[in-house]
Amino acid sequence: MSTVVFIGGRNIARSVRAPMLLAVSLLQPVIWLALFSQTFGGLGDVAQFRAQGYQDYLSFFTPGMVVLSMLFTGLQSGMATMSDIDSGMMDKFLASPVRRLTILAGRVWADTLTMLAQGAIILVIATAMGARVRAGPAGAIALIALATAFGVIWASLSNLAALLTRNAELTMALGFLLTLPVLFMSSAFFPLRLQPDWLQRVAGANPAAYVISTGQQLLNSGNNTPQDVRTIIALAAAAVIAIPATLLAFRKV
Amino acid sequence: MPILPSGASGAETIEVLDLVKVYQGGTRAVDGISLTVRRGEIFGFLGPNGSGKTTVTKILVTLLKPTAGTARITGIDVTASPREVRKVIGYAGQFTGIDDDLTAAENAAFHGILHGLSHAEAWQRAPELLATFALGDVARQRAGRLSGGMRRRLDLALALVHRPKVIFLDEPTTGLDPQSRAALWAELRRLSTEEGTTIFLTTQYLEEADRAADRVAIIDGGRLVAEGAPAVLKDGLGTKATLDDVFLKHTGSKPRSESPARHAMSGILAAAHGKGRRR
Repeated sequence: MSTVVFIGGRNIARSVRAPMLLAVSLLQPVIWLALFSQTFGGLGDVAQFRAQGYQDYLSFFTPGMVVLSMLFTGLQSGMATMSDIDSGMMDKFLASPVRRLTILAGRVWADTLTMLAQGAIILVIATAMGARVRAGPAGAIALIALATAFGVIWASLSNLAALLTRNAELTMALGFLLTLPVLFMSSAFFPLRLQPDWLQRVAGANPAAYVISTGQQLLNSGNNTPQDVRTIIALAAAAVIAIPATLLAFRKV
Repeated sequence: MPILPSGASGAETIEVLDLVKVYQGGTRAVDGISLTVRRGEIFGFLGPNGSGKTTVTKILVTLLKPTAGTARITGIDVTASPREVRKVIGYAGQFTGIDDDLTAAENAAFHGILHGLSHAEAWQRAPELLATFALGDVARQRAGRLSGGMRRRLDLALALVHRPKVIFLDEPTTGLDPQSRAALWAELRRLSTEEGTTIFLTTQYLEEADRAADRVAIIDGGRLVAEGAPAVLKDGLGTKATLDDVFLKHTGSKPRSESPARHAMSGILAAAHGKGRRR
């Protein structure tokens, strides 16, 4: 366990010592929050939007931004693995007695802490900008926890891409290729029920959509236990596919 | 129990028997190599580019699995018990595997802990090891800000941090200036004679191997073409014969020149390549 924490600490130290990277990671969702809430803020006054149970656009949009920050951090996780492979650092890890699972767990640990901090910071900023969390502090914690769980799954897929392609550019390209579709095939920007039927059906297979919908529920109307359960099941299903695949790829490194 | 190669006496630290590695796509990188290295020996593994040196080294340090054959380090099979092998080896590959965002001391301590040292032991060991490699003054500097030669020395230091019984060094002197190379050889000789550490290194610089290695093996096209003490291999090639002549006789190609200018240039290129691969 201490080795996991130690390896994770190394990954966090690397992020902290690259303040520009940290700043950009946090600044991006903040810019999006400001821009989208200004651009689409008028949607909050539309009757159809309010009929879905949403109070205002900022509170509606904030969960999507929390998930977006997790998507970018997850992408950086795969890039960090690629960097370790390229630099020869991964060979050093693999030629040491540390178990491969421990190496991976160290990265997951670092990703988890980073994502928890990012989620909290974005929620604080959104609240300062006027967003409200109707489900209270517990609802805010639940959103951060669910989004982090999704982020860890996404990070695992990003690591899988890095391990399979062994190519930093390709890993990044795959990540960016999927990031926006994952967000758009959800209610991140626009209520799901007002989207075309086929997009609603696709969103049904998108774990991010469940997390965002649950977050919107928590921020706009309060807790909804059946919705929470559906989200947990979707995340568990995604984890069952993504994490073993990544572990398998890591065993073959 | 596999049969040891001829000449093996049981005091061997490295035992390799009929080792074969065929990569996906059919490239036969290693083609039935057998060799032994005794405890405390400095063993030079020589060969032209693409001859299979690095593949053999990566199999011995458990980074690659052989297609056939066996290899044992201090009696432990690299395929059956890779984790046990990793506890007794140190490894520095062709490219510097250091973390540019950590300081030199943090890198050393980090690797010590990876190899099972306690935090206290690792932080105690780091400064003394850095001093050995003339890196004491830059211990608190981030590795990414060190010169190419310093990074190479740091990488070599990391391979020794946990006092391994066997050290594998892939092209260790590439990128080092003459003083650093001399210091490295002196440290390797001290480890070999005083601590009984076995050292397996690949190099294309034959004059170095001639001077420093107890025994050498020459690999070409994945096959071992010569093995023995440098003096024995040169025997019969004339009184002024060098290991270059042995190399030429067995591989049909000239080894890399030892000329300082060329060596320095290759070092600069290797260091630049190593940094360039970082991000």
